[in-house]
Amino acid sequence: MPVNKQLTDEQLVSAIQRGDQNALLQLYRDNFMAVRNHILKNNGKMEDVEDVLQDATIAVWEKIRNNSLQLNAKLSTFVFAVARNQWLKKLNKMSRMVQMNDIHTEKLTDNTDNLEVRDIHLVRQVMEHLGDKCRKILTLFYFDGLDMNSIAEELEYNSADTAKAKKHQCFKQLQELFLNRYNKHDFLG
Amino acid sequence: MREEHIDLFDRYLKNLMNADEIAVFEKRLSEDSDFAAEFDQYRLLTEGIRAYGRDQLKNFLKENAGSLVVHKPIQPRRIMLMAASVVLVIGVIAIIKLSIKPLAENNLAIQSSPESTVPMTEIETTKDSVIIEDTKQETDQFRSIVSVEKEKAVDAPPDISDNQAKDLSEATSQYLEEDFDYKVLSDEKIRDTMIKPVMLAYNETENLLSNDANVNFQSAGKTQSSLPYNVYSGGNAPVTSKSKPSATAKKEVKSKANQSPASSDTMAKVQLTESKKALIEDISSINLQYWKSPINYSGYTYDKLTLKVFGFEPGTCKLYTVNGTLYLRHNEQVYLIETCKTSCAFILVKNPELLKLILSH
Repeated sequence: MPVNKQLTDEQLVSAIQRGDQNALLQLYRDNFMAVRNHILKNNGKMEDVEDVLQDATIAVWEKIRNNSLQLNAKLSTFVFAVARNQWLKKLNKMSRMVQMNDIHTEKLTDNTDNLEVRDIHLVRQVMEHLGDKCRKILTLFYFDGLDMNSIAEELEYNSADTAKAKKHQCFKQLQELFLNRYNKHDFLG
Repeated sequence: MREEHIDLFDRYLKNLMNADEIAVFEKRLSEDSDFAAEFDQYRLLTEGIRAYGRDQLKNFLKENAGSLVVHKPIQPRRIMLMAASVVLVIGVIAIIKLSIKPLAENNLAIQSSPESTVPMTEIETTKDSVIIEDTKQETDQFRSIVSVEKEKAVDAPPDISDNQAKDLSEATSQYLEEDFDYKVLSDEKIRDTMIKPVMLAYNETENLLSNDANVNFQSAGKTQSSLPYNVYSGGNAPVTSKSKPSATAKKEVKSKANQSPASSDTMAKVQLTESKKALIEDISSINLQYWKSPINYSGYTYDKLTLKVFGFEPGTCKLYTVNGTLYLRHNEQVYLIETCKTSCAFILVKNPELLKLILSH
Protein backbone atom coordinates (compact mmCIF):
# COMPACT_ATOMS: atom_id res chain seq x y z
CA MET A 1 0.00 0.00 0.00
CA PRO A 2 1.71 3.20 -1.10
CA VAL A 3 1.81 5.87 1.54
CA ASN A 4 0.37 9.08 0.22
CA LYS A 5 1.72 12.45 1.11
CA GLN A 6 0.15 14.15 4.09
CA LEU A 7 -3.18 15.67 3.14
CA THR A 8 -4.78 18.72 4.69
CA ASP A 9 -8.22 18.43 6.28
CA GLU A 10 -9.89 19.77 3.15
CA GLN A 11 -7.99 17.39 0.94
CA LEU A 12 -8.84 14.54 3.29
CA VAL A 13 -12.56 15.36 3.16
CA SER A 14 -12.65 15.56 -0.60
CA ALA A 15 -10.57 12.36 -0.88
CA ILE A 16 -13.05 10.56 1.38
CA GLN A 17 -15.93 11.94 -0.63
CA ARG A 18 -14.31 10.38 -3.68
CA GLY A 19 -14.09 7.10 -1.81
CA ASP A 20 -10.26 7.15 -1.57
CA GLN A 21 -9.43 4.63 1.13
CA ASN A 22 -5.90 6.01 1.57
CA ALA A 23 -7.55 9.02 3.15
CA LEU A 24 -9.08 6.67 5.71
CA LEU A 25 -5.60 5.35 6.46
CA GLN A 26 -4.31 8.83 7.05
CA LEU A 27 -7.24 9.60 9.30
CA TYR A 28 -6.43 6.49 11.31
CA ARG A 29 -2.71 7.18 11.41
CA ASP A 30 -3.02 10.85 12.34
CA ASN A 31 -5.18 10.06 15.34
CA PHE A 32 -3.52 6.90 16.53
CA MET A 33 -1.22 8.32 19.19
CA ALA A 34 -3.81 10.60 20.76
CA VAL A 35 -6.47 7.89 20.92
CA ARG A 36 -3.97 5.35 22.13
CA ASN A 37 -2.81 7.58 24.97
CA HIS A 38 -6.37 8.33 25.96
CA ILE A 39 -7.54 4.74 25.99
CA LEU A 40 -4.45 3.33 27.66
CA LYS A 41 -4.78 5.93 30.38
CA ASN A 42 -8.43 4.99 30.84
CA ASN A 43 -8.28 1.29 31.58
CA GLY A 44 -7.97 0.24 27.96
CA LYS A 45 -5.65 -2.13 26.17
CA MET A 46 -3.94 -1.98 22.82
CA GLU A 47 -6.69 -4.10 21.22
CA ASP A 48 -9.23 -1.57 22.46
CA VAL A 49 -7.23 1.25 20.87
CA GLU A 50 -7.28 -0.36 17.45
CA ASP A 51 -10.91 -1.38 17.69
CA VAL A 52 -12.17 1.98 18.89
CA LEU A 53 -10.07 3.99 16.45
CA GLN A 54 -11.18 1.81 13.54
CA ASP A 55 -14.81 2.35 14.48
CA ALA A 56 -14.27 6.09 14.97
CA THR A 57 -12.51 6.70 11.68
CA ILE A 58 -15.10 4.63 9.83
CA ALA A 59 -17.91 6.59 11.51
CA VAL A 60 -16.26 9.81 10.31
CA TRP A 61 -15.83 8.29 6.87
CA GLU A 62 -19.55 7.48 6.75
CA LYS A 63 -20.46 10.98 7.88
CA ILE A 64 -18.30 12.58 5.21
CA ARG A 65 -19.45 10.17 2.52
CA ASN A 66 -23.08 10.89 3.38
CA ASN A 67 -22.41 14.64 3.44
CA SER A 68 -23.73 14.80 6.97
CA LEU A 69 -20.66 16.25 8.60
CA GLN A 70 -20.55 19.91 9.46
CA LEU A 71 -16.84 20.35 10.03
CA ASN A 72 -16.22 23.42 12.17
CA ALA A 73 -13.12 22.11 13.90
CA LYS A 74 -10.05 20.16 12.92
CA LEU A 75 -10.80 16.74 11.53
CA SER A 76 -8.50 15.15 14.11
CA THR A 77 -10.45 16.83 16.91
CA PHE A 78 -13.61 15.32 15.50
CA VAL A 79 -12.11 11.85 15.18
CA PHE A 80 -10.75 12.02 18.71
CA ALA A 81 -14.15 13.13 20.06
CA VAL A 82 -15.89 10.23 18.31
CA ALA A 83 -13.27 7.78 19.60
CA ARG A 84 -13.54 9.12 23.13
CA ASN A 85 -17.33 8.79 23.09
CA GLN A 86 -17.13 5.30 21.70
CA TRP A 87 -14.67 4.27 24.37
CA LEU A 88 -16.89 5.77 27.04
CA LYS A 89 -19.87 3.79 25.68
CA LYS A 90 -17.77 0.67 25.64
CA LEU A 91 -16.65 1.23 29.21
CA ASN A 92 -20.24 1.81 30.33
CA LYS A 93 -21.34 -1.31 28.51
CA MET A 94 -18.59 -3.33 30.15
CA SER A 95 -19.45 -2.03 33.61
CA ARG A 96 -23.13 -2.76 32.99
CA MET A 97 -22.29 -6.27 31.95
CA VAL A 98 -20.25 -6.73 35.08
CA GLN A 99 -23.19 -5.57 37.15
CA MET A 100 -25.56 -7.84 35.30
CA ASN A 101 -23.26 -10.77 35.69
CA ASP A 102 -23.26 -10.01 39.35
CA ILE A 103 -27.00 -10.40 39.60
CA HIS A 104 -27.22 -13.33 37.16
CA THR A 105 -29.40 -11.58 34.64
CA GLU A 106 -27.18 -12.00 31.59
CA LYS A 107 -29.52 -14.53 30.03
CA LEU A 108 -32.41 -12.08 30.02
CA THR A 109 -30.35 -9.30 28.50
CA ASP A 110 -29.02 -11.66 25.83
CA ASN A 111 -32.55 -12.45 24.72
CA THR A 112 -33.61 -8.86 24.45
CA ASP A 113 -30.57 -6.75 23.53
CA ASN A 114 -28.91 -9.12 21.12
CA LEU A 115 -31.93 -10.01 19.05
CA GLU A 116 -31.47 -7.28 16.47
CA VAL A 117 -27.67 -7.53 16.57
CA ARG A 118 -27.96 -11.18 15.68
CA ASP A 119 -30.19 -10.39 12.72
CA ILE A 120 -27.88 -7.68 11.51
CA HIS A 121 -25.02 -10.12 11.72
CA LEU A 122 -27.05 -12.53 9.61
CA VAL A 123 -27.52 -9.87 6.94
CA ARG A 124 -23.76 -9.29 6.91
CA GLN A 125 -23.25 -12.98 6.33
CA VAL A 126 -25.83 -13.04 3.56
CA MET A 127 -24.11 -10.13 1.83
CA GLU A 128 -21.12 -12.40 1.31
CA HIS A 129 -23.30 -14.65 -0.83
CA LEU A 130 -24.33 -11.92 -3.21
CA GLY A 131 -22.47 -11.22 -6.42
CA ASP A 132 -19.75 -8.58 -6.54
CA LYS A 133 -21.91 -6.11 -8.42
CA CYS A 134 -24.78 -6.42 -5.96
CA ARG A 135 -22.51 -6.05 -2.93
CA LYS A 136 -20.94 -3.01 -4.48
CA ILE A 137 -24.12 -1.27 -5.50
CA LEU A 138 -25.90 -1.88 -2.18
CA THR A 139 -22.87 -0.72 -0.18
CA LEU A 140 -22.42 2.39 -2.29
CA PHE A 141 -26.04 3.31 -1.89
CA TYR A 142 -26.78 2.41 1.74
CA PHE A 143 -23.33 2.66 3.35
CA ASP A 144 -21.56 5.33 1.32
CA GLY A 145 -24.78 7.23 0.66
CA LEU A 146 -24.08 7.87 -3.00
CA ASP A 147 -26.93 8.82 -5.28
CA MET A 148 -27.85 6.82 -8.33
CA ASN A 149 -26.07 9.12 -10.75
CA SER A 150 -22.78 8.73 -8.89
CA ILE A 151 -23.25 4.99 -8.62
CA ALA A 152 -24.01 4.72 -12.33
CA GLU A 153 -20.84 6.65 -13.04
CA GLU A 154 -18.68 4.66 -10.66
CA LEU A 155 -19.97 1.26 -11.69
CA GLU A 156 -20.24 2.26 -15.33
CA TYR A 157 -23.97 1.79 -15.79
CA ASN A 158 -25.62 3.52 -18.71
CA SER A 159 -27.88 5.62 -16.55
CA ALA A 160 -29.09 6.27 -13.04
CA ASP A 161 -32.29 4.34 -13.87
CA THR A 162 -30.27 1.29 -14.90
CA ALA A 163 -28.34 1.52 -11.67
CA LYS A 164 -31.58 1.93 -9.72
CA ALA A 165 -33.12 -1.13 -11.36
CA LYS A 166 -29.99 -3.11 -10.54
CA LYS A 167 -30.16 -1.92 -6.95
CA HIS A 168 -33.76 -3.06 -6.61
CA GLN A 169 -32.86 -6.41 -8.00
CA CYS A 170 -29.95 -6.80 -5.60
CA PHE A 171 -32.01 -5.67 -2.63
CA LYS A 172 -34.63 -8.30 -3.37
CA GLN A 173 -31.94 -10.94 -3.66
CA LEU A 174 -30.61 -9.92 -0.30
CA GLN A 175 -34.07 -10.03 1.24
CA GLU A 176 -34.76 -13.49 -0.14
CA LEU A 177 -31.44 -14.86 0.99
CA PHE A 178 -31.91 -13.31 4.40
CA LEU A 179 -35.43 -14.63 4.87
CA ASN A 180 -34.26 -18.01 3.73
CA ARG A 181 -31.49 -18.04 6.27
CA TYR A 182 -33.58 -16.38 8.92
CA ASN A 183 -36.36 -18.92 8.69
CA LYS A 184 -33.86 -21.72 8.77
CA HIS A 185 -32.22 -20.17 11.83
CA ASP A 186 -35.59 -19.60 13.40
CA PHE A 187 -36.63 -23.15 12.73
CA LEU A 188 -33.36 -24.57 13.99
CA GLY A 189 -33.21 -22.13 16.89
CA MET B 1 -40.88 -6.04 -0.79
CA ARG B 2 -42.36 -3.84 -3.41
CA GLU B 3 -40.08 -1.48 -5.34
CA GLU B 4 -42.25 1.54 -4.61
CA HIS B 5 -42.00 0.83 -0.92
CA ILE B 6 -38.23 0.49 -1.13
CA ASP B 7 -38.05 3.87 -2.89
CA LEU B 8 -40.28 5.42 -0.22
CA PHE B 9 -38.17 3.99 2.60
CA ASP B 10 -34.99 5.19 0.84
CA ARG B 11 -36.31 8.71 0.50
CA TYR B 12 -37.50 8.75 4.11
CA LEU B 13 -34.24 7.49 5.58
CA LYS B 14 -32.12 9.75 3.34
CA ASN B 15 -34.16 12.77 4.38
CA LEU B 16 -35.28 13.41 0.84
CA MET B 17 -38.96 13.93 1.76
CA ASN B 18 -40.57 17.23 2.44
CA ALA B 19 -42.57 17.76 5.59
CA ASP B 20 -45.90 16.73 4.04
CA GLU B 21 -44.47 13.51 2.65
CA ILE B 22 -42.92 12.70 6.00
CA ALA B 23 -46.25 13.26 7.75
CA VAL B 24 -48.11 11.01 5.31
CA PHE B 25 -45.35 8.37 5.56
CA GLU B 26 -45.31 8.30 9.35
CA LYS B 27 -49.11 8.22 9.53
CA ARG B 28 -49.12 5.17 7.29
CA LEU B 29 -46.45 3.50 9.40
CA SER B 30 -48.57 3.92 12.48
CA GLU B 31 -51.77 2.70 10.84
CA ASP B 32 -50.59 0.01 8.42
CA SER B 33 -48.92 -2.82 10.32
CA ASP B 34 -47.86 -4.67 7.15
CA PHE B 35 -46.25 -1.48 5.89
CA ALA B 36 -44.57 -1.01 9.26
CA ALA B 37 -43.34 -4.62 9.23
CA GLU B 38 -41.97 -4.09 5.74
CA PHE B 39 -40.22 -0.95 6.97
CA ASP B 40 -38.70 -2.81 9.92
CA GLN B 41 -37.35 -5.45 7.61
CA TYR B 42 -36.02 -2.78 5.28
CA ARG B 43 -34.27 -1.13 8.21
CA LEU B 44 -32.76 -4.43 9.28
CA LEU B 45 -31.47 -5.17 5.80
CA THR B 46 -30.03 -1.69 5.24
CA GLU B 47 -28.44 -1.75 8.68
CA GLY B 48 -26.90 -5.10 7.75
CA ILE B 49 -25.58 -3.58 4.51
CA ARG B 50 -24.00 -0.72 6.46
CA ALA B 51 -22.50 -3.18 8.93
CA TYR B 52 -21.08 -5.08 5.98
CA GLY B 53 -19.64 -1.84 4.57
CA ARG B 54 -18.00 -1.10 7.92
CA ASP B 55 -16.60 -4.62 8.04
CA GLN B 56 -14.99 -4.09 4.67
CA LEU B 57 -13.33 -0.86 5.77
CA LYS B 58 -12.29 -2.37 9.06
CA ASN B 59 -10.61 -5.23 7.27
CA PHE B 60 -8.91 -2.73 5.01
CA LEU B 61 -7.62 -0.82 8.02
CA LYS B 62 -6.46 -3.97 9.77
CA GLU B 63 -4.55 -5.04 6.70
CA ASN B 64 -3.01 -1.68 5.90
CA ALA B 65 -3.01 0.59 8.91
CA GLY B 66 -0.59 -1.67 10.74
CA SER B 67 2.20 -0.77 8.36
CA LEU B 68 1.45 2.91 8.82
CA VAL B 69 0.85 2.90 12.51
CA VAL B 70 3.53 0.53 13.64
CA HIS B 71 6.37 1.15 11.27
CA LYS B 72 6.19 4.68 10.10
CA PRO B 73 6.03 6.53 13.39
CA ILE B 74 8.61 4.25 14.95
CA GLN B 75 11.11 4.48 12.12
CA PRO B 76 12.27 8.01 12.88
CA ARG B 77 12.52 7.07 16.52
CA ARG B 78 14.74 4.15 15.66
CA ILE B 79 16.94 6.36 13.57
CA MET B 80 17.10 8.83 16.44
CA LEU B 81 17.98 6.04 18.86
CA MET B 82 20.72 4.79 16.58
CA ALA B 83 22.09 8.29 16.15
CA ALA B 84 21.91 8.85 19.89
CA SER B 85 23.77 5.59 20.52
CA VAL B 86 26.55 6.57 18.14
CA VAL B 87 26.85 9.99 19.75
CA LEU B 88 26.87 8.37 23.19
CA VAL B 89 29.63 5.95 22.27
CA ILE B 90 31.73 8.72 20.75
CA GLY B 91 31.08 10.86 23.80
CA VAL B 92 32.09 8.16 26.22
CA ILE B 93 35.28 7.47 24.29
CA ALA B 94 36.07 11.18 24.21
CA ILE B 95 35.42 11.54 27.93
CA ILE B 96 37.62 8.55 28.71
CA LYS B 97 40.42 9.88 26.55
CA LEU B 98 40.21 13.36 27.99
CA SER B 99 39.94 12.22 31.55
CA ILE B 100 43.03 10.03 31.51
CA LYS B 101 45.58 12.36 32.98
CA PRO B 102 48.72 11.49 34.79
CA LEU B 103 48.35 11.73 38.51
CA ALA B 104 52.01 12.22 39.05
CA GLU B 105 55.26 11.87 37.31
CA ASN B 106 58.06 10.39 39.14
CA ASN B 107 61.56 10.16 38.04
CA LEU B 108 63.18 7.63 40.21
CA ALA B 109 66.59 8.97 39.63
CA ILE B 110 65.91 11.61 42.18
CA GLN B 111 64.15 9.38 44.63
CA SER B 112 66.55 6.55 44.60
CA SER B 113 68.21 6.05 47.86
CA PRO B 114 71.83 5.13 47.99
CA GLU B 115 71.06 1.91 49.77
CA SER B 116 68.86 0.69 47.01
CA THR B 117 70.97 1.57 44.12
CA VAL B 118 73.91 -0.54 43.30
CA PRO B 119 74.05 -3.88 44.81
CA MET B 120 75.97 -6.23 42.66
CA THR B 121 77.12 -9.70 43.06
CA GLU B 122 79.98 -10.31 40.84
CA ILE B 123 82.74 -8.67 39.07
CA GLU B 124 83.67 -10.64 36.08
CA THR B 125 85.93 -10.53 33.15
CA THR B 126 87.88 -7.57 32.17
CA LYS B 127 86.99 -7.94 28.56
CA ASP B 128 83.46 -8.23 27.37
CA SER B 129 82.08 -7.92 23.97
CA VAL B 130 78.53 -6.92 23.35
CA ILE B 131 76.83 -7.24 20.05
CA ILE B 132 73.65 -5.37 19.67
CA GLU B 133 71.56 -6.40 16.76
CA ASP B 134 68.74 -4.04 16.11
CA THR B 135 65.85 -5.70 14.41
CA LYS B 136 63.34 -3.06 15.18
CA GLN B 137 64.34 -0.10 13.14
CA GLU B 138 61.87 2.00 11.30
CA THR B 139 63.53 1.38 8.01
CA ASP B 140 65.89 -1.19 6.70
CA GLN B 141 68.64 1.30 6.92
CA PHE B 142 68.85 0.84 10.59
CA ARG B 143 69.77 -2.78 10.57
CA SER B 144 73.20 -3.03 11.88
CA ILE B 145 75.38 -4.72 14.28
CA VAL B 146 77.65 -2.91 16.52
CA SER B 147 80.30 -4.66 18.24
CA VAL B 148 81.49 -3.10 21.33
CA GLU B 149 84.59 -4.22 22.85
CA LYS B 150 85.53 -3.13 26.21
CA GLU B 151 89.08 -3.45 27.18
CA LYS B 152 88.87 -3.83 30.83
CA ALA B 153 87.22 -2.85 33.99
CA VAL B 154 89.07 -0.86 36.48
CA ASP B 155 88.97 -1.20 40.18
CA ALA B 156 86.82 -4.22 40.19
CA PRO B 157 86.13 -5.28 43.70
CA PRO B 158 87.39 -8.71 44.53
CA ASP B 159 85.23 -11.49 45.92
CA ILE B 160 81.62 -10.64 46.51
CA SER B 161 78.90 -12.93 47.70
CA ASP B 162 75.13 -12.52 47.81
CA ASN B 163 75.16 -11.47 51.35
CA GLN B 164 77.66 -8.91 50.56
CA ALA B 165 75.47 -7.12 48.06
CA LYS B 166 74.58 -4.35 50.39
CA ASP B 167 78.04 -4.14 51.67
CA LEU B 168 79.14 -3.82 48.18
CA SER B 169 76.82 -0.96 47.55
CA GLU B 170 78.31 0.73 50.49
CA ALA B 171 81.75 0.04 49.29
CA THR B 172 81.32 2.89 46.81
CA SER B 173 83.68 1.35 44.38
CA GLN B 174 84.91 3.58 41.69
CA TYR B 175 83.87 2.41 38.31
CA LEU B 176 85.35 4.46 35.65
CA GLU B 177 84.50 4.76 32.06
CA GLU B 178 86.79 2.77 29.92
CA ASP B 179 87.90 2.86 26.35
CA PHE B 180 85.54 1.41 23.79
CA ASP B 181 86.28 -0.12 20.51
CA TYR B 182 83.39 0.24 18.08
CA LYS B 183 83.10 -1.98 15.11
CA VAL B 184 80.39 -0.80 12.83
CA LEU B 185 79.33 -3.72 10.75
CA SER B 186 76.71 -2.06 8.62
CA ASP B 187 76.92 0.91 6.31
CA GLU B 188 78.26 4.13 7.59
CA LYS B 189 75.01 5.97 7.22
CA ILE B 190 73.56 3.93 9.95
CA ARG B 191 76.44 4.35 12.22
CA ASP B 192 75.44 7.85 13.12
CA THR B 193 71.96 6.80 14.05
CA MET B 194 72.87 3.71 15.91
CA ILE B 195 72.68 3.33 19.58
CA LYS B 196 75.90 4.25 21.11
CA PRO B 197 76.41 1.90 23.93
CA VAL B 198 77.48 3.86 26.86
CA MET B 199 79.70 2.29 29.36
CA LEU B 200 79.57 4.27 32.44
CA ALA B 201 81.38 3.77 35.55
CA TYR B 202 78.81 3.87 38.21
CA ASN B 203 79.38 5.16 41.57
CA GLU B 204 76.78 4.76 44.17
CA THR B 205 77.41 8.23 45.31
CA GLU B 206 77.20 9.58 41.80
CA ASN B 207 73.76 8.85 40.62
CA LEU B 208 74.11 11.47 37.99
CA LEU B 209 76.14 9.07 35.99
CA SER B 210 73.06 7.03 35.39
CA ASN B 211 71.24 10.06 34.16
CA ASP B 212 74.07 10.78 31.83
CA ALA B 213 73.65 7.32 30.43
CA ASN B 214 70.06 8.05 29.72
CA VAL B 215 70.92 11.28 28.01
CA ASN B 216 73.46 9.56 25.90
CA PHE B 217 71.03 6.93 24.82
CA GLN B 218 68.49 9.44 23.78
CA SER B 219 70.91 11.71 22.04
CA ALA B 220 72.16 8.80 20.05
CA GLY B 221 68.73 8.66 18.42
CA LYS B 222 66.77 5.64 17.26
CA THR B 223 66.34 4.37 20.71
CA GLN B 224 62.62 3.93 20.57
CA SER B 225 62.93 0.43 21.78
CA SER B 226 64.41 1.84 24.94
CA LEU B 227 66.87 -0.33 26.65
CA PRO B 228 65.36 -0.88 30.06
CA TYR B 229 68.66 -1.10 31.69
CA ASN B 230 71.79 0.84 32.14
CA VAL B 231 75.05 -0.26 30.79
CA TYR B 232 77.95 -0.09 33.10
CA SER B 233 81.56 -0.69 32.71
CA GLY B 234 84.46 -0.90 34.98
CA GLY B 235 83.69 -2.79 38.10
CA ASN B 236 80.27 -3.52 36.75
CA ALA B 237 81.49 -5.13 33.60
CA PRO B 238 79.69 -8.42 34.16
CA VAL B 239 76.47 -6.52 34.32
CA THR B 240 77.01 -5.33 30.85
CA SER B 241 77.77 -8.73 29.58
CA LYS B 242 74.69 -10.30 31.08
CA SER B 243 72.32 -7.49 30.63
CA LYS B 244 69.86 -7.86 27.87
CA PRO B 245 66.83 -5.87 26.86
CA SER B 246 63.33 -7.14 27.30
CA ALA B 247 62.08 -9.53 24.70
CA THR B 248 59.57 -7.09 23.29
CA ALA B 249 62.26 -4.57 22.63
CA LYS B 250 63.32 -6.89 19.82
CA LYS B 251 66.89 -6.34 20.47
CA GLU B 252 69.26 -9.11 20.94
CA VAL B 253 72.27 -8.68 22.99
CA LYS B 254 74.80 -11.32 22.57
CA SER B 255 77.62 -11.53 24.89
CA LYS B 256 80.79 -13.31 24.17
CA ALA B 257 81.21 -14.01 27.76
CA ASN B 258 77.77 -15.44 28.14
CA GLN B 259 76.22 -16.29 24.80
CA SER B 260 73.01 -17.85 25.88
CA PRO B 261 70.20 -15.52 24.87
CA ALA B 262 66.99 -16.47 26.56
CA SER B 263 63.94 -14.70 27.74
CA SER B 264 64.64 -12.18 30.41
CA ASP B 265 62.74 -14.13 33.01
CA THR B 266 64.55 -17.33 32.21
CA MET B 267 67.77 -15.53 32.23
CA ALA B 268 67.08 -14.10 35.60
CA LYS B 269 66.12 -17.46 36.95
CA VAL B 270 69.19 -19.17 35.62
CA GLN B 271 71.46 -16.59 36.95
CA LEU B 272 69.81 -16.47 40.28
CA THR B 273 69.89 -20.16 40.81
CA GLU B 274 73.19 -21.00 39.29
CA SER B 275 75.79 -18.50 40.02
CA LYS B 276 73.89 -15.88 41.94
CA LYS B 277 75.00 -13.21 39.64
CA ALA B 278 71.84 -11.29 40.08
CA LEU B 279 71.96 -7.62 40.01
CA ILE B 280 69.33 -5.37 41.45
CA GLU B 281 69.39 -1.74 40.83
CA ASP B 282 66.97 1.08 40.74
CA ILE B 283 66.29 2.51 37.39
CA SER B 284 67.05 6.14 37.28
CA SER B 285 66.51 6.79 33.65
CA ILE B 286 62.95 5.58 33.47
CA ASN B 287 60.20 8.08 33.84
CA LEU B 288 57.54 6.49 36.02
CA GLN B 289 54.12 8.05 35.72
CA TYR B 290 50.98 7.22 37.67
CA TRP B 291 47.83 7.42 35.62
CA LYS B 292 44.26 6.93 36.52
CA SER B 293 41.60 5.57 34.22
CA PRO B 294 37.91 6.41 34.74
CA ILE B 295 37.08 2.77 34.14
CA ASN B 296 39.56 1.70 36.81
CA TYR B 297 41.79 0.05 34.28
CA SER B 298 44.79 -1.61 35.82
CA GLY B 299 47.84 -2.15 33.69
CA TYR B 300 50.72 -0.29 32.15
CA THR B 301 52.36 1.03 29.04
CA TYR B 302 56.09 1.14 28.69
CA ASP B 303 57.74 2.79 25.80
CA LYS B 304 60.58 5.21 25.22
CA LEU B 305 61.76 4.93 28.78
CA THR B 306 58.39 6.07 30.04
CA LEU B 307 56.39 3.72 32.18
CA LYS B 308 52.75 4.68 32.67
CA VAL B 309 51.15 2.76 35.48
CA PHE B 310 47.38 2.53 35.78
CA GLY B 311 45.60 1.44 38.91
CA PHE B 312 48.13 2.32 41.60
CA GLU B 313 48.25 5.31 43.86
CA PRO B 314 51.05 7.75 43.12
CA GLY B 315 54.28 7.01 44.91
CA THR B 316 53.43 3.44 45.81
CA CYS B 317 55.59 1.72 43.22
CA LYS B 318 59.27 1.18 42.83
CA LEU B 319 61.26 0.00 39.86
CA TYR B 320 64.02 -2.56 39.79
CA THR B 321 66.09 -4.27 37.18
CA VAL B 322 67.35 -7.72 37.63
CA ASN B 323 69.83 -8.65 34.98
CA GLY B 324 68.43 -6.05 32.70
CA THR B 325 64.81 -7.02 33.11
CA LEU B 326 62.56 -4.39 34.52
CA TYR B 327 60.32 -5.10 37.48
CA LEU B 328 57.75 -3.00 39.22
CA ARG B 329 57.20 -3.44 42.89
CA HIS B 330 53.95 -2.44 44.53
CA ASN B 331 53.79 -3.31 48.21
CA GLU B 332 54.66 -6.99 48.42
CA GLN B 333 53.96 -7.77 44.81
CA VAL B 334 56.33 -7.62 41.92
CA TYR B 335 55.36 -7.33 38.29
CA LEU B 336 57.34 -7.97 35.17
CA ILE B 337 57.51 -4.94 32.89
CA GLU B 338 58.13 -5.33 29.22
CA THR B 339 58.01 -2.87 26.41
CA CYS B 340 54.36 -2.26 25.69
CA LYS B 341 53.21 0.59 23.52
CA THR B 342 49.47 0.30 23.98
CA SER B 343 48.45 -1.35 27.21
CA CYS B 344 49.45 -4.51 28.97
CA ALA B 345 48.22 -6.32 32.01
CA PHE B 346 50.54 -6.70 34.94
CA ILE B 347 52.37 -10.00 34.97
CA LEU B 348 52.90 -11.11 38.52
CA VAL B 349 56.34 -12.46 39.26
CA LYS B 350 56.17 -15.79 41.06
CA ASN B 351 59.75 -16.88 41.03
CA PRO B 352 60.44 -17.13 44.78
CA GLU B 353 64.10 -16.35 44.55
CA LEU B 354 63.52 -13.35 42.38
CA LEU B 355 60.77 -12.18 44.67
CA LYS B 356 62.94 -12.61 47.68
CA LEU B 357 65.73 -10.74 46.05
CA ILE B 358 63.58 -7.77 45.14
CA LEU B 359 61.45 -7.67 48.27
CA SER B 360 64.41 -7.95 50.56
CA HIS B 361 66.03 -5.06 48.86
